[in-house]
Amino acid sequence: MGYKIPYLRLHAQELRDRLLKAALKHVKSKGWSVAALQSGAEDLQMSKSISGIVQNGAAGLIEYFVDDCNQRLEAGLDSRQEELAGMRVPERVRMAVRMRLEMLIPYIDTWPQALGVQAHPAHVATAVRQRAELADDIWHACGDTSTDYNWYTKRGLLAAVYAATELYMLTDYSPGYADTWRSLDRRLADVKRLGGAATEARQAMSSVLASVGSMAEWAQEAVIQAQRRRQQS
Amino acid sequence: MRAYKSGAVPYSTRGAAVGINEEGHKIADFDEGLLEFLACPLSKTPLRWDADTSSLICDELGVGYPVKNGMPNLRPVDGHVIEARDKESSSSQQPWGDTDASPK
Amino acid sequence: MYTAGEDDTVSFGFQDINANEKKERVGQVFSSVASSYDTMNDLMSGGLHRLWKDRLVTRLQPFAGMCHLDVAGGTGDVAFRVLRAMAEDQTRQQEESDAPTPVQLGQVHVCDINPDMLREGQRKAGQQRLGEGGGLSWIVGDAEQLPFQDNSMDAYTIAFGIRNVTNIDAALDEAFRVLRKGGALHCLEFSQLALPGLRELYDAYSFRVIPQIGRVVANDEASYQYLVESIRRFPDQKTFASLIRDAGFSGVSYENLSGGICAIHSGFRL
Repeated sequence: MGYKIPYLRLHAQELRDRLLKAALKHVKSKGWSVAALQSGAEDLQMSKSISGIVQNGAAGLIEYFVDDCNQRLEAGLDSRQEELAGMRVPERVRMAVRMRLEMLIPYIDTWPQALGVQAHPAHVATAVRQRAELADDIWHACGDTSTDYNWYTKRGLLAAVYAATELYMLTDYSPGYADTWRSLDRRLADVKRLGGAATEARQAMSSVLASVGSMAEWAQEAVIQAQRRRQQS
Repeated sequence: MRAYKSGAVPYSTRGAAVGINEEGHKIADFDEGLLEFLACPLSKTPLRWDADTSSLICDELGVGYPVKNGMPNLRPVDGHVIEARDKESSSSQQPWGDTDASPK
Repeated sequence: MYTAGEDDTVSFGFQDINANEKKERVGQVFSSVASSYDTMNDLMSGGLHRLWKDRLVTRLQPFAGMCHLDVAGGTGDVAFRVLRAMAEDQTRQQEESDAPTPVQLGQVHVCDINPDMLREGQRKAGQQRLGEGGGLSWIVGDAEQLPFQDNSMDAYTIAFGIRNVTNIDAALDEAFRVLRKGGALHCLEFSQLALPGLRELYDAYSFRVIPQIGRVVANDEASYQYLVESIRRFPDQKTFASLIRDAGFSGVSYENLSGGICAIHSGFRL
């Protein structure tokens, strides 16, 4: 992780990161957009034209945010190793997924828009890669060191569990997102129950995936739920 | 809009004040707001607008650049050295814009 | 079209015409070259140049209140696109903003070494009713010695113009000088083809067909021969990128368009 843009030398890379960090402060008011990047440029007292240094605009901003969250998760799990040591693997996974999803809370209103941008054909490969890396990192941090064929299945299962919970969260109004964490528990229980033999594992994966569908369908679902959220508020 | 003969200019020059040229066609005068951005191509210092000679003056070098039909001609080759730079000569004691003394 | 045999005839090429008409005809020749320049662009690129210019302006990300400089684009193609994008952003900001103060449109300066190109651009702007509020300014100037103050521009574009500059380094130095901190350079230019095979086809087309088109469209085969040769002489993508870095720009990158027929190079003043 820590994805470097190959064409940028160090000075420009640092500036790009500072711009993206400044832009995140404006996502709530401007959305995941070039406008947010331009407002970030104003904060840095530079011409708004510097937004062009993020070549794919809004998608670049989202990619940066997701990488940043994944890095913060890695650091957070690293610092809580003693706590993790006292838990069984499923509980560690639960804690890691919850920690990661909580990072979305400040941006929850605009997150459906981000999912929509990520689902665009030009950007979906990046999003899938980032989700696969996240699943790998969580399994690794939670003590799973197996590299047999089950590993791929587990990575797919975890990514699907994460995505399903993420979608649920977008329309959860319960205090402290309690309903979301209960939903997470149910998903993890499904995985645990079926996580043994190979054929059962594959069935589990396909059933969890079927409930969530492809990335594009996730995003469409998210947009519909966001509209419902707006209608209710 | 009707077709333009050479010399006339449509109103797409910023904030143009309109005058009439010899052929009776409307021409656009120079927009002084541009002085905020423009510079002498040689010295890179700001310019001064002289309406009488319809030119932009670089006092740093004593060079003038013509403005034709509202369009500044600011290539280095467009510049001409201004003669009456000597502060002591009588003609330059008249301030710019005095119609009696201005050269044509 | 000819009026031979009038009193006071003068020669105009191989025609004898009335003296008063000569002044007009000369003007018409200049304007016909300028307008056939656009037709020439169309024919040479198969109309693709419009898409390329659209992409250039998308990369630029224009915003309301911007101070923009377009160089060597006297007929206004890029400038008009930039101004329209600025106006769209102005509308969007005004709709979203709670502030009572109006959002400024900004300014596009069109700078070209050829006054006839600029006059053609003014004519087209008038036809399309663009820049009536004052968003466009037309300046005759040299890319190697720009008549603009230091740190005055948010962005600088040059489309199919830099290969005609004698001293590319000087033009890039000037671009850097006039840009403010954070300002962007975006340059659209013919480049070396990235895909082999396309190269042979393009060579055959450009060396044989284009000058013939030039002869027919603008009565000017020699100029269009020069045009083709100037494209050949222009440095390849990587070399041009390093020239841009030499001028002081950071974050320099390029994007190939249409298999590398042309490329957009971008750089920033940090």
